Amino acid sequence: MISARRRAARWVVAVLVLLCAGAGIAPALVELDRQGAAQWFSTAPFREHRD
Amino acid sequence: MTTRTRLTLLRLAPLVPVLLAVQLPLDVLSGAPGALAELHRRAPDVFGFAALATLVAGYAVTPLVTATGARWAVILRRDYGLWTCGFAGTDLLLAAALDPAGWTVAVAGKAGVAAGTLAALMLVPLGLTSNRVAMRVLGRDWKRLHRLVLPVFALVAVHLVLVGSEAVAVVFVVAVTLLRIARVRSVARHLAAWRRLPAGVQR
Repeated sequence: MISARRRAARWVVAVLVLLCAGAGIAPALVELDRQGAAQWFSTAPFREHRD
Repeated sequence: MTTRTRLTLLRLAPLVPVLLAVQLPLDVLSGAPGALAELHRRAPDVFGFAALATLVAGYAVTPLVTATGARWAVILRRDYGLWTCGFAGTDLLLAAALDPAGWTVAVAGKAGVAAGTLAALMLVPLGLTSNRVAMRVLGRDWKRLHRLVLPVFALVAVHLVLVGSEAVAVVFVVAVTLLRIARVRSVARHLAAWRRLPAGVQR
């Protein structure tokens, strides 16, 4: 049986993890939708610039 | 050199790459022409490299302590983790603030960039819970939470493959894999036993 404090802490942390994951995934989905998969997954200009 | 001095130097070591690049923000503050563009261009190299180095260094602490018995170095695990958080967060904020194409392009304009952004953001809960209070309150769940570092490693590897150098990506993956193996309980037990062998015994 876990304490109420620990259960609350678990919820806080779970929400925090979800918020952070969402904050990373949301702009990625926006850009994927805007550019299309081929363009978004391409490595240009990074690869071309560095290799 | 005393252990205390050595520890202090190791704790401050992550500052070195930042000090080497301190001219960049100074130029921005003094209003030098093109300083902002230069900061935007070089920040990923400075802070990205510093974040990567401290991430691996932090993960290496436990196996190194197991292999050497240098318990005094354990604090570096949290230190380097927090440095990683700070460097990755600074890199992300600078990119978002300075990219003329807009913040969504800056943080997620390409799959590789988005992987780096997600990795940096996933470090936030780890950084916020890297203290004794969080460890006490979360109990067993703390360890489970901090296993999030494994998906962070995977995202960093994707980031390196897609937007960094392939050679660095390979070195990173090999280093992290070896460190992960060294953390497996049976391997760690062997490492500790090897350390305890008396001098002169065939190892």
